[in-house]
Amino acid sequence: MTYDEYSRLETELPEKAHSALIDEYYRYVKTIVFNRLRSFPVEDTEECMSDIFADVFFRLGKGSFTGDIKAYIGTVARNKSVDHFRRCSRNSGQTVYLEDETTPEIRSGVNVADENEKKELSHILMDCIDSLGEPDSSIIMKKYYMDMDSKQIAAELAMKPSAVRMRCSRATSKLKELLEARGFMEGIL
Amino acid sequence: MNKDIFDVLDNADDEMIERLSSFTDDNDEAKKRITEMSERKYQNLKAGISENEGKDKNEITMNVADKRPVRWYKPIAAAVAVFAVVAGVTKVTSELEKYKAPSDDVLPAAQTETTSPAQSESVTEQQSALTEDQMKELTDRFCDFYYDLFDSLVIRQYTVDNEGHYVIKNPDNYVDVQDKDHYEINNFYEFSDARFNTLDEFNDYYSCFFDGTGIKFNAGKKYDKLDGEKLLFADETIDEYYRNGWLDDMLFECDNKLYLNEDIVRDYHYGPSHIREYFSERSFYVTENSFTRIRLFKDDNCRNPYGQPMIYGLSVTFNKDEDGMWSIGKVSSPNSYVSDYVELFGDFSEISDTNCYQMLFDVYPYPNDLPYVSKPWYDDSQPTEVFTTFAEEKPFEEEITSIGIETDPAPFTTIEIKNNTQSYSEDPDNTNDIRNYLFFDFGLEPASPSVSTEPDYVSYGNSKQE
Repeated sequence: MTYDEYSRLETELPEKAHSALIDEYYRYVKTIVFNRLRSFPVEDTEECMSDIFADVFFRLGKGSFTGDIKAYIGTVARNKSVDHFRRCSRNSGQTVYLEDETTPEIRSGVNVADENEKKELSHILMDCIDSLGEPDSSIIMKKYYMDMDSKQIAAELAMKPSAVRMRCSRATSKLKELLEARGFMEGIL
Repeated sequence: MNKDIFDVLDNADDEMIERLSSFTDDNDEAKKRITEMSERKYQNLKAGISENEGKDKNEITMNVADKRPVRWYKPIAAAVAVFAVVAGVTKVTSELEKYKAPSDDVLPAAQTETTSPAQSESVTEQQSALTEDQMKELTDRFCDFYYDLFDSLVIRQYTVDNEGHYVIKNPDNYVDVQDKDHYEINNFYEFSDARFNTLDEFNDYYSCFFDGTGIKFNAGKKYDKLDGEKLLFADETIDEYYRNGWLDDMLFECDNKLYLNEDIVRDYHYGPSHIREYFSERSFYVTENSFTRIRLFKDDNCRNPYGQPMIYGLSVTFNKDEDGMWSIGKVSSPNSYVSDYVELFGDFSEISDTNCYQMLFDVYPYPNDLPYVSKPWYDDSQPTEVFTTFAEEKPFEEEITSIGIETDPAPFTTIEIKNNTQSYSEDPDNTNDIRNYLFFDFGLEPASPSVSTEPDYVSYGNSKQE
């Protein structure tokens, strides 16, 4: 969706424009937000997403806009996610230390070398997961990254929970082999 | 597999976000919720209104959680349901440091530190029950503590197995002191937390949650050595247990280690932890010396077999000691309509047709010295009713014609629904227990049950259908 398309739609039917924009960028925004806030309750994720879309509606509705609308939404999503992360951490009574290994890192101020290594590892991990093929790759991601249980995964993938568990078990073993072959240390698997 | 390796995906760059987005679900219900929230916030932005304006303190503290929501709407074991209602959790022995003027303090002016015992007694007798705002404020403070304890401490002790069940993370540190000759099962396990290594540090940490209320926080006990006998409820302590909750038997320190009762962990998991926004709350049994506050939470994402949202409650009782000091007593977190209740009442479609929910919300000793209560409970938009089984007259929906309690041959509750009497008896050998039921109606459209249960008899723990 381009800004012109959005703008035209909003002039005629604002709510339809909003709905269309959410339809198109929902997964993109959710991915960004979840990537930052996955240790927080789903309510926080949804709260943050609604803030993002409201802000985007507001900004786009204020007037002319130039540039890539997706890139803009991505920027808003990242900034809002960081804000929410800080706020939720503060409200939970925990102090966020940037140097704390257990704390999801804020983008600025991180070690470049570590960041590069992490980036490389993340791509290796995703390559291995992708190589599992569907539905195993989705099962692994939903199980370990999204922390969903077998029943939830089964509902999303239209499978039986027992089938999910079985495939998950096999896929996990296979993934471990793949990761070990790519240099992931056995101890961290 | 170690989930931690997936942490490398955190703070992903644009390229990785694109890859991850292919695994992101496109949930229609969530999308609808977010769309509605976005529209509301957008309208507020246009009107120059901050979304947070107008929220009360409790709503703002909704973000206290630091963990993902607990998937506790999974089928709950019958035993858990039984004990969950008496989920005495922690002892918060609280005392008023001094009464201040209402404008400065939560509690009303009643006595001063310089008041003589005789004067104090006189003044105390004249003291009236707390106001609605004061009761709400105390409950707010308790909830802050309750959720923090859940989020930051208790949730760490459990993990989820491949079957989706919660299991204790650290079974090696589990202390099993179960004894069938005693009333309660008290199993403890060691826990650790960077913020507090000792009971004193634990109490210091959580004392701040009650700052400004004049309440002093003091939980737990200290033992020189681990002695299972001390961790059990015996006959002589059962009355105190029912009156005051679990007191300080939920947490103890021994040999420089902290131990937590299993029930507190379990109950937090089955309590309304991930939904912080309550839709209604009321006080019950309000006297000048005690009150019970119940908050109701609704989970629209979790439906019972009839398509109705799950309802959860959080009940906390505040008691005033003989010397005028307040303490937090029993805490319970009941829930509506788990499979056990379907079993309890047989074919639940009768209740479903009336759009009722049932919630077993408390177990009180019998005879009960608390005043019986039958009062309406109003949601913001829907009139609802709540009453206890103690009430003689039960003006509820016409489909439910009566609800009452019988004492012969053993205490049991009778609920008559459309001329179909459902009743069950408590354990005849234990006449101390009377179940109170909370009914409320959200005016929902009747839904067809997707699950039909037609047991020949009702079995629920020690109870059985008459």
